[in-house]
Amino acid sequence: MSKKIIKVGMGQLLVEGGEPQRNLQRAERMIEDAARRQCHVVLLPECLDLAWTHPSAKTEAQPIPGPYSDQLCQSAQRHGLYVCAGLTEKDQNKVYNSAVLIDPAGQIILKYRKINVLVVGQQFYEIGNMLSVVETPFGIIGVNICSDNYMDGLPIGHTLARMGAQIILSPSSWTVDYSYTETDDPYGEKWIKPYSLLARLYNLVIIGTTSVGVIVGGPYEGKKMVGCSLAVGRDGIIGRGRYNEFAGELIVIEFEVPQRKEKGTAIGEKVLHPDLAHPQKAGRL
Amino acid sequence: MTVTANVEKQGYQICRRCVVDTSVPGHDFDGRGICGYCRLHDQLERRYPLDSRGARQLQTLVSKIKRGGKGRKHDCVLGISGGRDSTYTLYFAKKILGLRPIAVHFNDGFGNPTAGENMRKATQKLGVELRTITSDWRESKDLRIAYLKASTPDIGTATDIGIATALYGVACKERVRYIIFGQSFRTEGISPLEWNYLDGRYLKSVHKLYGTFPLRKWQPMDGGFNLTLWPMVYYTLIKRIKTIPILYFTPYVRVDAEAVIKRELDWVYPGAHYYDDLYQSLMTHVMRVKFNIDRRRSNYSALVRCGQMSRERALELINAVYVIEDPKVIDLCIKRLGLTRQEFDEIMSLPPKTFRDYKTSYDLIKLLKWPLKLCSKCHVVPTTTYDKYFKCG
Repeated sequence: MSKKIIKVGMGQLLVEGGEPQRNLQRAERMIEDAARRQCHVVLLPECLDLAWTHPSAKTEAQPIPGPYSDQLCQSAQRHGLYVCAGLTEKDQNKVYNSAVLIDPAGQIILKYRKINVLVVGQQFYEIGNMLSVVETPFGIIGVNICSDNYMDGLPIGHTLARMGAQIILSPSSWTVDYSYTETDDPYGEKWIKPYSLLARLYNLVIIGTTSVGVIVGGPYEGKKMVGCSLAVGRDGIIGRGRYNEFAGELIVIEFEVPQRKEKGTAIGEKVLHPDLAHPQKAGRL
Repeated sequence: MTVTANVEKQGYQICRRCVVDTSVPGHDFDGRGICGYCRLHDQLERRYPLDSRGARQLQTLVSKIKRGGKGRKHDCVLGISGGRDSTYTLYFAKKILGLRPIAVHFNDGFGNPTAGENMRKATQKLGVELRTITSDWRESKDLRIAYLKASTPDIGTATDIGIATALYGVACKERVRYIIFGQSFRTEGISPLEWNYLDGRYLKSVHKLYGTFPLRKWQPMDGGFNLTLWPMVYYTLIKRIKTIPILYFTPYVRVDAEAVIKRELDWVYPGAHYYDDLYQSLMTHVMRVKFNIDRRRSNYSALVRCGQMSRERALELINAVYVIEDPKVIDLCIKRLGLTRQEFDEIMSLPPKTFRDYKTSYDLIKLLKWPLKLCSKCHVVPTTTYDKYFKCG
């Protein structure tokens, strides 16, 4: 099988609460920037339209397809690259924390509704009920969202891996307390640990792109997003965003798409290999 | 859109040199029709000459800062916002003066994204460490609403205090004794006291009357919105931190500075002066509509005095509503504060007041007139502090 190299733009976007037009304009500029830097895929944050847990989710969310996703589809088509982005989705009287994967023709080829919704977010978002992956020329891509990758939510990542995902894209909105500064390590092991676990266990690449900005409404006021997006493969960290809380930045990473031969129960057999089942003993953690 | 000209009002007077008029508190016109702000400007020009004496003053100051920072990672703290003045000050301090600043930005949730990009690019290109001090949004939102309800024109006081404590806090943490900021009396002027009264006790009394969210307590490295007498004594007399308006000592010409930072730092104009902060949009609107205040009278007058703008041009600009009053951004500010339009309109209809209607430290400041003059002279407090409290209305 020939090696496939993929260039992914981690679009660490500034997201202002309740300002969809301003946020989408910035997203479009980020997509344009990613295309100019020859990315095949650009990954944008969670709820990039209204911001995560902003009260406007209840009144300003749009359907998918709908005006906000259309704007992203047109942008993907105009610049000829895959776009993965988090949007607040309205479906009749329900609202979901959703993500879409759009192909270079501007078609939505995957839509996912977040499952592992935080308790504080449940006043805004319903729980999703489906997981999916999609085949692309670069391999099989799975999509989940932010806290789906918590250690206690890892069955979601495991399932995507079992479905054959070679790359998991995860639009995110990682928050920290307002008092953090550039001198602090914002997340510690919080994301590296589950990402590394999935990446090593299944030989896949998992990428999380977070928004940046102060949370200006809703139950998480007093917190902020500070970037430091993350991409992890079997051998460790592939890319990482810089700490910033007021300006977006595109971080471009390039890697070889991992080839995964095992399917179905063969994955289980591989996972049970002592090196992977007990990495501490094998000196791999 | 044009604003009503004041010329027809009875007793109206406008300075013969700048554009300060009777709407500006402390105008104090003399027999020649020259305002008190022009006289203050001339005094400051004599105090900070731009000839060889000024160059020597600057050199002495820079040597002191460098000496003070020996053996430390940084020799000064420098406040930045992503606007023109602070971005150029960072460039000037680092590239021209060879200082080793740590750039400090105070983020209170209303930053202009363009200014944010400017800060990111400037600090990266100059290789300057950036430290962002963020306010607790619940506190800063609450204070903004409290000031709107207090119905005074100085609705940006909380941010100004937040900026000051952020700078002092980082200076304490990094054990740096000099704070540099990019304000210049030549290009910005000095605002009348009633337009911008800075006093920690005043903030506390407004918060007590109209605030709903408790303010966190003062700590030396995390001052929050506390800048009453004790924190000031701690920072200025115990820690001996000095504040240096470095642009006072150099011929700072806005258009030239802008060209430099555009070329060297890929700087982008945020859309208007003060527009590094989106909240300025709402502030400008409230000040004009409710208090008949146009801050440009003060700013443009400064530019007129030092020949960076013609008086005719200043008058022409002032005759139109400032571009910063963008209705979309005003709506954004109201929405971000969690207010409805109706609530905002009710606030706008409250009778106008000034800081004199609240508990402040103003009486104490007046008693401390001479020590304050000395502290201003020695850069213990910002140089124009004395002038502001005693010569600007």
